[in-house]
Amino acid sequence: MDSNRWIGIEAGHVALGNRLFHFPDLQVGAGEVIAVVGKNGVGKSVWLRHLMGWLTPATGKISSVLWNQKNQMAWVNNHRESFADLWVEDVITLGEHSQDKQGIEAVLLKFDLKAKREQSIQTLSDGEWMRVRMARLFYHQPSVILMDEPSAHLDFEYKIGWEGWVKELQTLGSTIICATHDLQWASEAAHKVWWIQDDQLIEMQHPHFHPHILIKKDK
Amino acid sequence: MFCSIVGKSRNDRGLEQHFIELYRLISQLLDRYKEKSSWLIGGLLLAVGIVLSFGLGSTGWGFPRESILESPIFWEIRLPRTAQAVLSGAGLAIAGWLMQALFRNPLASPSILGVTNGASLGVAWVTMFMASWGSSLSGVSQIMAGAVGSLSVLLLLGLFKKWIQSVTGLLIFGVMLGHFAGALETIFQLWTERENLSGLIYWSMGSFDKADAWGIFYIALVLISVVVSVKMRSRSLDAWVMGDDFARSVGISTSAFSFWLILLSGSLTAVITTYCGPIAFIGLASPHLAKFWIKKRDHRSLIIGVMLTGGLIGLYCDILTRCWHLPLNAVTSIVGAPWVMWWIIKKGRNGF
Repeated sequence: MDSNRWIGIEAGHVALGNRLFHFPDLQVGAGEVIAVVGKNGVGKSVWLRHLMGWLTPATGKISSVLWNQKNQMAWVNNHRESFADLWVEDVITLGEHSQDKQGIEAVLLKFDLKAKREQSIQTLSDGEWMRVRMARLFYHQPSVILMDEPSAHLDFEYKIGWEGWVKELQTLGSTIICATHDLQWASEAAHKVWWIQDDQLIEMQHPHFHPHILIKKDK
Repeated sequence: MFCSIVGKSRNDRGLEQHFIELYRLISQLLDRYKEKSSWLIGGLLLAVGIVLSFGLGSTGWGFPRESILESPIFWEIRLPRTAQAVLSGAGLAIAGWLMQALFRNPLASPSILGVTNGASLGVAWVTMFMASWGSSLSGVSQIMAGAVGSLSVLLLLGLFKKWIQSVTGLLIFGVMLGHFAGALETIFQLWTERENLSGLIYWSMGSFDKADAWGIFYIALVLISVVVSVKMRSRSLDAWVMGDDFARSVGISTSAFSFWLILLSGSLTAVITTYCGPIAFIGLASPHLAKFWIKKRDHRSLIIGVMLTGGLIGLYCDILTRCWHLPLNAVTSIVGAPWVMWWIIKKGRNGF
């Protein structure tokens, strides 16, 4: 497999409850930003789980060289387990990591988390929790990052910050696949948009996607 | 860009800022001191408890006239009993702690998967047959029956684990297994002659007074191997409590890991329940009590503290058992139940 292609997808179907949705041949390259767009319940999360290798498609084939490598594919969602009361620092460093200890200090400084490093993640606000998750990404620098509506609960200030960090991660070489309801961001920042509607996944390249299209199609 | 909006510039530090800094420094020092002194107090309590336990017998307080090392009472009764109380307390605490991590639920306990009920069922069954054979219940047969019962529940869990998708499903499955075993136990009790029931009832109250060298050896063996293997994979445990998706994304196989947790916690519960009977509350309360005095929250740092807390509770409950002449489970519940109630009321605002 060519090293520039992280995930290879051959056309097929994904099972979604009692229905199927179809996906065409697709490729995920290094350094790409891909937005997954669609209404609630069309299967965005399920699709991302297939890309993580946690689920296998009903037909077709999804494969990645990264599935066998530890911590090369990151998963980010909104969830914060209420039982877990680990420290911020411990959460950021969780997972296999090859860099030296310097990394954690730089990352904590970058995200303004120095004062919070020995606090339980339960004491954090939503914005701080988002910063911890972003700090994890900068600390581990995985090849592919899958995000499931990471900015859903954030106010506009954090949203702007989030967009900047995503751009930075991309320049560091990470591929980003993000399920989102933020059509503006999808139309501006994403190289490709995977738009799921009527049990079909359609790929659109950057300049051809505009929120306006979706609204018209919906009517 | 964003950091500069939120972060304050370093230049506008007033006097109050310095006071805040000073306050933070002092509280940090106190925090550090508190944990160190807690370890010291924990160690002291353990030492005092062991001395008390050595000296306290059925005839009240007192050391034998001759040297304590020559006294058969010390070697055959008090030392094994003390060792078993400490080891079982520590083991139950670890088992409960692992169960709480497995289900990500602060109210999980070692008995939640029905392992304890399995042991009870085994003992009830053997009691019934012993009675029909006309012999009384012996310690060895009780231990064998308890081991067979608890291990078969563990085996059933392992067999069906493959088809159970979620942790919640596993929890319900375990509770149902426990109910099923409990129902069978009731039926066996009904079929048992009334005069033979006392052994079973006595066993189900829990106690450390049947301690022998082999029991201590087995409990210590299982405890040490569980603690070593948990210590080796403590970071995986950290990732596990963060949720299924998180654990999977850092490369943990969720089904294999949950099976591993069930195996460790289940075997520990099985061996302790077999020798000491079903002991309530120590496994539930100890992990939370340990978190009161240990500042760190990663599993590697907590493991010794959880063990020490459980061992202390086991030891002091056993001492109270001897002072009050009450069954062990009554003591642990009298100590434990109000604590759990208080904890729920305290947590009430967080939606419990």
